[in-house]
Amino acid sequence: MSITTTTTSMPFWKEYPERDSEWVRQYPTKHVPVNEEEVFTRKPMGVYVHIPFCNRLCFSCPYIKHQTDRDLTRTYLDALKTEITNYAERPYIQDHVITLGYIGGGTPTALTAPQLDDLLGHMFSSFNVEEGADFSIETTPVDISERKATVLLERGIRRISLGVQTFVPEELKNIGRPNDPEMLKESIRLLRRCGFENINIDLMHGINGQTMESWEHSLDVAIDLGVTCISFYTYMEFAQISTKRRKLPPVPEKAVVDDMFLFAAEKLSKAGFLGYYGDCFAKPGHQPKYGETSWSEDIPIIPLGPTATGHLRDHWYFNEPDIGRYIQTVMEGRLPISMGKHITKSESIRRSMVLGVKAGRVNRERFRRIHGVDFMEMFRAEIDDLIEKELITADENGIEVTGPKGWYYLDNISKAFYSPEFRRYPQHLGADISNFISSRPIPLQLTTRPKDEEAGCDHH
Amino acid sequence: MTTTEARLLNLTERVPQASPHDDIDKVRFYDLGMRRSALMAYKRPSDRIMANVRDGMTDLVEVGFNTGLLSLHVAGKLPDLAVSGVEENQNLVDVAEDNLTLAVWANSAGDVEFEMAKLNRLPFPDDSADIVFSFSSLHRWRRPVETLKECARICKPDGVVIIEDMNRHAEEGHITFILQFVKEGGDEFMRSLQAAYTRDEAAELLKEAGLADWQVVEEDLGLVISSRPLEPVST
Repeated sequence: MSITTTTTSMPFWKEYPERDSEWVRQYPTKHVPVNEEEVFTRKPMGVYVHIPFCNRLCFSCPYIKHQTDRDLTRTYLDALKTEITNYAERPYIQDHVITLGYIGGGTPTALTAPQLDDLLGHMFSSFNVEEGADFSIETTPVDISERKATVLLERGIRRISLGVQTFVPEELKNIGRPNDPEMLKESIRLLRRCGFENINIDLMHGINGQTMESWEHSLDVAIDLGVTCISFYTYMEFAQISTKRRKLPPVPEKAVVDDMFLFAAEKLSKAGFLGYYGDCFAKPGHQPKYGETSWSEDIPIIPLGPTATGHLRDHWYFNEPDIGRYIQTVMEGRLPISMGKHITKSESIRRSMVLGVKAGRVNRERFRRIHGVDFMEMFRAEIDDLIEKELITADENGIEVTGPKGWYYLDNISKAFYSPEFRRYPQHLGADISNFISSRPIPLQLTTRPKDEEAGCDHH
Repeated sequence: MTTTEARLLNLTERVPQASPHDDIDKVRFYDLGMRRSALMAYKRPSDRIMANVRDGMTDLVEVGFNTGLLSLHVAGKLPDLAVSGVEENQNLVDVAEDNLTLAVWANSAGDVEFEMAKLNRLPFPDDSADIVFSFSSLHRWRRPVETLKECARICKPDGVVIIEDMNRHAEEGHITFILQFVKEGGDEFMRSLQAAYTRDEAAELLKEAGLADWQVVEEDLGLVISSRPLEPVST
């Protein structure tokens, strides 16, 4: 039997040198049913709100914050609400629905209950906020009260994060905190009584006088309290000389601090927690969407407040860090955008890798849906190198960070995907360095291989 | 591969500071900031000086002592040696004298003396100092070639000259990182950095001073100029 296929002549498709006379005016050319809802669907968006006030300033915190002051707080909240209104009036923002958010600082609960109620009420009524949007807020055990907790819950905040740091009295004293572990536990019980089900505790390792035994004690207390998330951070003292602190017991050796990380990661995994961001652990279903989803799904974020970082309209940027200038700019009717960077298509792809791996895994199909490329092929060299170092594993579905080794090296993994131009440049902490930027234009990089550029194939 | 050689920060050309430290109140504010936060920055230069101290040494000289903190810090560790500092800015001398007064009040064991003099005419005999050191001052020297010659003149033949200052062409990422932390001091930091020399410019100064056999080493944010090769000190 023989089968022969011949190309059927079609009236609208001619191959050169025959002239095609179909006047092209549409593309693509396969149509499927489309409806109004699909065309005008609102895409997801998130918000980050920075409340730069603390009732007690910690010497180990590098973030921009001010001692709570009644007049300044009031003025600031007026500005913050004005900034929210300014964003909310923009068509681009109205085309989106807020699905996630994070209220950090500072200490957001340094605000009074009525102030929190007023701020959240204004924000939730100004933006299109999805029912059940995933919002987290930060507090300290001292700054939370039944009244504030009730306001937060009524306004739709479902996850709350407490800066506990340690449950050891001596260590609490060494970091300048009220040294009553019972008070810390009671603040968590209070949140539960009020109705919070998703509670995170921040712990610190590397505190003056801390030992592996005392670290284990803090972890045990946190686990026994039944909280849904536990995060831990390495203690860093930014004040380099302090007459008050020089007589404290020394901080543990770096090797011990490293062991504390691995010990905690293993202990929490055994206790049923799943790791994300390397040093954050959550019971299944309790991981906050802010960060994980916003990075993996490339969801834009509105930054609100001084130093707040956002990602909108192909730019990442942060707001004016100086609170006085922030208030002035907002009250003049402008957005307080300070510094940032336009994100090209190839950098957008890299950004999704850099930030995506922080969630512990990058899904191949989801990545292809968002960016239209196969990252496994595009970053083959980087991925092979990370596999060889046993930092990640890969299969046909994507890549996964290996725990606990990969979690420990998570930021090394992220940086493997930086483009050469951005390697060896730091993360920002809210410093406005615009006065020092060279006025010389950065040479435009032209490439004769647009396919490579689009695919981000600028590897060595 | 796509990379850009364009520099982010405005540090291509050297911009000498017109009249640094010309306001006593600003100098006091600067000194207070240094006292509170510069101990880490002073650790490595201090360790480098200590690593070069030998038995039998008697005299150390600091050229351009700013507000005197490094001399006081080193002298406290070396109570049997005399540390003499020279500075040509009156405001810096006044604030350093106040710091010395406090050190004396606190019965500091250091033997320190601060003096105002031109840095291109150091008030010391030839071959009189075991260690001549300078930290974060070179960028303010009005006549750097002459001052380098003076450092060589007063240093004993078996002594060592150690001059540390910022490197204007240090890695930009490192500079940007520092700027995240200095916040209000960012302008001052950048003006100093703009006035600082690059490795090649420092080498050129040495050549002009007839000291081509000296060393210039780039180290993190800084340059280390020395009259002979130095052992590296740990961070």
